[in-house]
Amino acid sequence: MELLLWLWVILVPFLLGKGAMRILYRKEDRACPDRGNAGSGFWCCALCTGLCLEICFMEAAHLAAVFWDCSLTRIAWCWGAVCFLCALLSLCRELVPLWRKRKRKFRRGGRRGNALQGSARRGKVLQESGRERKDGQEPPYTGAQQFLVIVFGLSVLLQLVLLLSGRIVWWDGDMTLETVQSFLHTDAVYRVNPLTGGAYEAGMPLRVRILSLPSLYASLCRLFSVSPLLVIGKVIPAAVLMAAYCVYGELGKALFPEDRSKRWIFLLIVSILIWAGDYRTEMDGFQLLHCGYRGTAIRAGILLPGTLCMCLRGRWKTVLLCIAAEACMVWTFYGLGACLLTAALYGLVCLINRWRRKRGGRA
Amino acid sequence: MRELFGRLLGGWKDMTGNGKFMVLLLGSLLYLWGIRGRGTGLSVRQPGERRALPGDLLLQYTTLFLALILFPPAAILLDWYQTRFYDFGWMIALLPMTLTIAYGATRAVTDCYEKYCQESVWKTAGLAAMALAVLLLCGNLDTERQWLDNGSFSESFSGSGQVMTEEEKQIEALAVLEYLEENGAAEDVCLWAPALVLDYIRRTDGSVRLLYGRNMWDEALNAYSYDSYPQKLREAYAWMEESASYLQNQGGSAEIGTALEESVHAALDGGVNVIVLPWERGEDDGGIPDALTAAVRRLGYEVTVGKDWGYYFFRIGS
Repeated sequence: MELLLWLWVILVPFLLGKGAMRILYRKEDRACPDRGNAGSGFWCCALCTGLCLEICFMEAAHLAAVFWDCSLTRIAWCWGAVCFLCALLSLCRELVPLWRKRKRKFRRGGRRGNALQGSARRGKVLQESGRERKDGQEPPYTGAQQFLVIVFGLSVLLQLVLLLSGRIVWWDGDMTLETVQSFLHTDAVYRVNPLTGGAYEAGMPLRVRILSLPSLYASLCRLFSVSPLLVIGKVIPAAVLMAAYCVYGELGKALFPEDRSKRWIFLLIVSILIWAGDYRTEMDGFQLLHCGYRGTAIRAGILLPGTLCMCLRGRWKTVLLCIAAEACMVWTFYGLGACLLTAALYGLVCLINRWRRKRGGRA
Repeated sequence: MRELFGRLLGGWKDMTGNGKFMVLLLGSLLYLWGIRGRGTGLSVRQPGERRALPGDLLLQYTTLFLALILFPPAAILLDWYQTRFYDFGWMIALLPMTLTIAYGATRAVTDCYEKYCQESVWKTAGLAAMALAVLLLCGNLDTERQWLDNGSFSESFSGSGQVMTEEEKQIEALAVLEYLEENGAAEDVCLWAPALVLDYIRRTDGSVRLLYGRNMWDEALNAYSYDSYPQKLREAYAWMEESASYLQNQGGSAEIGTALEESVHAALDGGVNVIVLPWERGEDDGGIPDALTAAVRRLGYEVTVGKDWGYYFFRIGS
């Protein structure tokens, strides 16, 4: 079941996001076909969109549990079913055309002549299609670039090993683990005080009750029958770290579109900054290495850089999803949210640039 | 205004106290603006291109955000925006520090490489080593590690100042839970024990109720609930910690008297049916376990005392 959990955490956001992007960006992608390519931030957008959608779906289920007393098991299965079905549909949508294309190529190769000729032609067709594929791609990695990739890979691997050891988790000032254990024990949401297990006397603030992250973790534990300590202490922090690197990778592509070496140097420096930047609880490094399960870490590592990345790529609907996802996790602690502030400031920068261009044009 | 300046300065000092990433951020911004002004790199745009380059936009965004945080009238607005709940350290942390430093450092390193180091492998290695040293020295690989190695109790936790690692706390909690399960007392347990045991109990098993939770010693957790502990429970906590420290040879005192009676009374009123005390002093336990047993019996309850895993277990029945 642990393996299934890992597969869920790695694959479902991508598949969900990919499917959602076909719907959200249908008009824009038809107008500009290059937007659907990997080089245009497509995969990062898919990841951000998928993660935000998972969180938003869970928020809906969580509110049903809080206000309508639905059980945790019911909301877990509903949420799981919705995400799984959407991911499955997206996967079928991707695989069916590929399968049909392959079938057509083999049929063309097999009908004209004997088996040997057919296989030779098949080989030629595959070779030609391979050659065609190669034309659009970047050149192979140089020795220096391979070195950069290896060093970066080792750094990330070491971080993952530390995270998966579960020895560097920071639990102070947070009661997510107790909350999830309470949800699982009572099969309900916020029926008892997570810290004591007894009934609430004066209650808890609504601004805390409506946040859905504990329900998300409890649902994963219920669906895959795993321990909350595994999900919260290891799986989620590792997944958040990898997703953060995906987002920073995409930012690297946006900032250095022509130079692969610079992109890998950028990623390596990001990795070093995460190592060295854990000297305060507010820093990105501390959040990603020690508190990856918290909403503030997901915001700092994925949503905020993801919002900037999507702003740079012009994927405005995903920006809205990032704002909504933050609202479902942490916004009530920080006013209207940092993602909204980021998007607003970015909009202000664009307005200032446009005004300067107009002034420059008139002059 | 004075208060705002004070908070602003406090937030800035907090963010620059232990590490120098703010310095790196300012350095990156200066370098990026510098190369922009020289007409190379960032400002290069193809004819007919309508949008600014991503690097340019990132630079302008970070500079604008930093200016808003440091400029007092805008800082007031940002303060209101985030409901005046957190200090300016968190506001400064919302800057894209990692992104901007990485971008600036990448530009600086690659520009230096292209100008000075392309011909020599040793110069390239030296440049890489210098960049790595600057990044690592401006951060701090060790500070929080000390917190983690020494445990994460706040200073107000116990008079003895005992600290334990997360693993040690988990082991204590598991030991208590294992004893309760082995002795058929795992159902409907309401536990009163030292904080070093209680710290991990509900993180390991959500079925165990506690007389008081982690928010008794971790004040930050009080933000999650309107409930608060009455004075008698706070006194019970103080008595338990004092006695546990004494029984673990960590200082403290063996206080038997009205404090014990009132604490036991408060615990039993709270529904406690299992009390746990450390058992490290052996026979020289100051009479605490016997006094506790007697106090419970005086209140009309039966007590079964067990010893295992370095703890006394007092199982209380009616």
